[in-house]
Amino acid sequence: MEETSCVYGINHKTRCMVSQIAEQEKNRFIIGTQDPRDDNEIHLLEFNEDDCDISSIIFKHPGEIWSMTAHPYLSDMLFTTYKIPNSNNMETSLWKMNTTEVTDDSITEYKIDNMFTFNSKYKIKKLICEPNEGASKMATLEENTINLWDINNTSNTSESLRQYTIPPNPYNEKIQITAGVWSPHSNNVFITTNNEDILAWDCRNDSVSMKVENAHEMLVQDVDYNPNKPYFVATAGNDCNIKIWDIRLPKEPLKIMSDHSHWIWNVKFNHYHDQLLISSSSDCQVNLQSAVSVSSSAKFLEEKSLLIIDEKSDFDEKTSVDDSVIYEQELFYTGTGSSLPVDGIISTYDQHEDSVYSITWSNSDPWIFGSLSYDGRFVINIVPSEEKYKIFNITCS
Amino acid sequence: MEKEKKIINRKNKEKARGLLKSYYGIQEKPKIKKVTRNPSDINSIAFDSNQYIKKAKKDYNMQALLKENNKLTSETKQLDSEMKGLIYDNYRKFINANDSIQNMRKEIENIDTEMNSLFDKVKNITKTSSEINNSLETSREKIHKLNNVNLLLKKLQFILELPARLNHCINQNPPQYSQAVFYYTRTEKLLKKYKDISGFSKIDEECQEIIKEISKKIKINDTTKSMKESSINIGLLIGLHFPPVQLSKEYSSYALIHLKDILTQNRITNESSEEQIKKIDKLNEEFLNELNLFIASYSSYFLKQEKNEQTNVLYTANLNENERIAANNKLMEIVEELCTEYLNIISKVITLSQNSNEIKETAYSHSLSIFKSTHSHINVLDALQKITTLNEKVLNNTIEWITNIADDLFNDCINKLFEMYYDEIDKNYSNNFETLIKKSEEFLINEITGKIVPKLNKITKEDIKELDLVLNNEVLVYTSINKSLRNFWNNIFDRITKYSSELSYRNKISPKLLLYVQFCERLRINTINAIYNLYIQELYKDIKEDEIKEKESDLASPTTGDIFSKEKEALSDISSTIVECQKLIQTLLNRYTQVVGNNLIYIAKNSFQEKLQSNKSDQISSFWIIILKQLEMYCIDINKIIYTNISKPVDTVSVESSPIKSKMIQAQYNNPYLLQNSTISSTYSSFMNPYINNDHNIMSNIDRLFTERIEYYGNVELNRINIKTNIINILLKGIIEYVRLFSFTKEDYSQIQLDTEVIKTILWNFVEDPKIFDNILEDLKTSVRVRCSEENLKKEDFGDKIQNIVTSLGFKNF
Repeated sequence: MEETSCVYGINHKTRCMVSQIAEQEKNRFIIGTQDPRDDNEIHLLEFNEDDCDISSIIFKHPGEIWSMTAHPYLSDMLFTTYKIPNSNNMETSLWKMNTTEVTDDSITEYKIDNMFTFNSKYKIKKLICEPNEGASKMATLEENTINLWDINNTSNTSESLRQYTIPPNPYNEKIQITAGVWSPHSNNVFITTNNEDILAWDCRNDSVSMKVENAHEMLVQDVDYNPNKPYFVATAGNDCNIKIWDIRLPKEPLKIMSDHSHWIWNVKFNHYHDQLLISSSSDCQVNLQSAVSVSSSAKFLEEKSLLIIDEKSDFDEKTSVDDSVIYEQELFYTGTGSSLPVDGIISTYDQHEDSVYSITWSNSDPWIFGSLSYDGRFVINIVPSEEKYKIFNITCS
Repeated sequence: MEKEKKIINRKNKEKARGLLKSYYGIQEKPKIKKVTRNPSDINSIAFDSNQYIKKAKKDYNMQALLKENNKLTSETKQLDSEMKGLIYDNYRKFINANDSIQNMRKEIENIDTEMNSLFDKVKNITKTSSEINNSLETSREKIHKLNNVNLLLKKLQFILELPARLNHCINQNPPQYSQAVFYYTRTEKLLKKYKDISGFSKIDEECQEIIKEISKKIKINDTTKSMKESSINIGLLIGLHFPPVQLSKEYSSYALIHLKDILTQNRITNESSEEQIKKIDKLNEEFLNELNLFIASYSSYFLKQEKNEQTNVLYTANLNENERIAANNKLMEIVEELCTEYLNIISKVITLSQNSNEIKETAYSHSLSIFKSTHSHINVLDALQKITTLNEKVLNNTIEWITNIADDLFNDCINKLFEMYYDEIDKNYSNNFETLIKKSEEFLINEITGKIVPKLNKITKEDIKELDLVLNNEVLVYTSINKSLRNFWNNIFDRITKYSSELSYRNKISPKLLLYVQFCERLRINTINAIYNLYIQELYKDIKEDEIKEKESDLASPTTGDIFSKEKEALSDISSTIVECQKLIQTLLNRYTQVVGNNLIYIAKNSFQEKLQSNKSDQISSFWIIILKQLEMYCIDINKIIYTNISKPVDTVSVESSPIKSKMIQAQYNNPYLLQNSTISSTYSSFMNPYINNDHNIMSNIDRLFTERIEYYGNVELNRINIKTNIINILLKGIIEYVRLFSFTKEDYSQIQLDTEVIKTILWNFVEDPKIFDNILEDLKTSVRVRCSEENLKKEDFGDKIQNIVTSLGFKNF
């Protein structure tokens, strides 16, 4: 029963979803709708693992939401980037979600309060925050600039602490920042992606500290930091590849996974078991990948698999030709081999029927993740228990 | 009675005759023909005179009777006289025989007396001889003794003369040290034994002094002296009981310096190639021979374990086990060092010749002669082969060299292939791609069969036969050549793969990539097989003949057997190469559609004005025109290069299984879009009817349910339609994703409806499955619609407008 997925439908087009980072107990996800006809909503969803159902609180939101960021330590706070109704301009605001009911004329409604809005001179596209509880910094990603802010001291009049400008690319194309992520290992480092490059920034410096040029053949759509291995990042791009990099070695990726048949919009490391990666693509699929060879548990695996390889080579010498013996041998090894994780796709989820633009792990349960497609379908999936056992097998013994 | 006697007589006679006959082995003659017994025939046995007379009386007349009478009388008279003669003869012979018998009897009596006297004489002789023998016995012993004394005296004489002899040896020019030492070692023990005798001890002292002088003069640390001389000297010193460990050390250090000198003297610098060959020849001659001599003499002097082991030297040093091991190690060390240096020189010459000679042929023959000289020298030197791996190392160097040559040949061919046919494609845009591919394929076959294979044949069949060390290791050559051929294919594939991965979607994609696809397809279908067959046939043909011969003579040689297995290896390479090629084709096709699709998306993005509505009414958006133009150019490339134009049969099952779709599909299939547009729109509207509220995407969702998921960047088949379909799918999907990032107006929506209709009309014939194509276009429309901020969007009916626009656009070449 664990592997069954749970679906929630929204009657709007949807592009963005986040998990509530500040909430450690419950599986909470926030979805923002994107409807040009201006009846947009924010859905605060809670997935109950035991009953396998999703409950929701819906807030009204002005303007179609293009990007959302959950506040790192205040669970009811949320940044959204949205289009101002009846205008072509974008705005970014911090909202407080009031989960107490307001009953007006017998219609039950929930409301969000605008805490502040960034000055409109900043054409913000995305916002990233330090991920931990003691977070103090956040960065806003604009067209070709990045601004650094103090998260605890912002108002619509305040100026940014620091500004970075992204250098022009060799083809003189328009700079297009697509994604960014703060390092979980250092509160001064974050990574952004634009066009085909990956840039790493250090808040103490004024320029790019590390970069990978032409990381993907086409636009890089997303980037995520390995939570257990510093300098290790995963990127996803329009060339249908997921690449894992050591950001210090910009020449060659450590691993390339090409299992999607269209652009990949998201890639996310599991917060605890960094060999697990989820990715979403406009081929309407969500993939759960295992990249154990470049993960923090690779060293455990090496020690273990050495033993198995030794046994196997002994076996190979004894029986090389006889097919039936090989078959038995395979049986034998798939029996013992299955106890350890290997690289490759764990499972493919095809519950979506439109491009999946957003995907995230739950913040409280390490095995749960949600994905959201453009047609408003939100799906919760759980990592297969078989894979869980394999992972426990490495770390436990 | 008489008759009985006669019969017995006759029987006895016959018996005796039979015995005689059997004794002489005469076969019983067949019985004489029975002559008809005519009693009237006068010559017959059965003649009866009475009957004859009767008959005569009857038959003859008087006259004839008289004649007969006369005749008979004369005949009788004649016979009578003849008989008389015969009797006389017989008698005379009898008398003669009698006489001779009497003579014989007389003579036999004489012989008897002679024999008796002879016997007596022989007796006498034996008697006297034994007497003589006895008398000589004593003196003979004396002679023996005297002889022994004589020998002893001679030896003594030798010893007494020894100092003089030794001096004589030394004083000769050149001094005969070895003779002197030989003399001395022969007498040494004797002298030692009889030291006490005064004369001897004096001689001993004298000898010792002379020997000391000799041993001073025998030097081994003079490195300019030849190895032979030094080796002899070492032998002498061993004979003179110098400490062998010390000697072995001195000897080996001498050899190291001496041989290194030879190496440095012959170091190759920038000389002409003939001089180089001469020098190498000299080096081989001097160095290898000297090294061999050194190893041989060193091992026989110092490394012999058993006394009775056969040696070709007079003196051997008695080393104990540990010393021998140390000496052996020392030898190995030196030999190793020298060999490495020698090999360095050889390989330096080879690389030097390859670098300096611009013409490969001369470099090749130059290197070949160097190897030839090296091989022939090493091959004859047994000690060298026994103790060092020099022969193996030289063999390895040779094989490496052959591999390099083979690789070089193949790489040349690849370079020419790409230079002649493919590198210039973008500059000289030819129209006849098919002949280009065919020509390049022919070039490849010609180059390999006409140039490379004969050359390899020359190497394997002629040249390596001259290299002595390769002779029994020919299989290594075949292995390396097989490997070179494998590398040849891999290099071609790598080159193409590299080209494809360097393409960028930012520029127009050259048709070269497609040409490579088609070229590889030709390789896969035909060329690889053809080339390998030729290669195997040519290179292994003699081997096969040999094999057959050997089978006939019932002799299996291991080397040819191995080569036979190399032939099998080459055969199995065919299929693996073809598989590789197949994979490459797939990768290239996927890459082509990917890059072309991305290029079109890139163009679309750059020319997209963030709104769809065109300035002119009844015209499609301007960015479509640019895209379609580019797409048309790609389609022209595809049509030119890809000859296969098979499209998949329509999946009828899926059509039937989707009841809602089937009507529409059939309608579409039977009627080209354009003509039926207005009539079919009524059926359409019943499905598509409400663009109301949230139901508007139900239709497209239902469509999705019944269509397979589209693999946008999936595997592409090698046919025109599939390539085009994939490009179009990638393009449209890209545009869908792109338009979702913008906001649109009512006008934009009506524009996109017009655009999709036009595109449908232009392209529906060129895609594999119009159903999927239709779905994607429908998606595009929906994507624009949901990004419209206004409500109450209308589905429009364009009627004949579409036809006019399509004709005005004038795209024909998809």
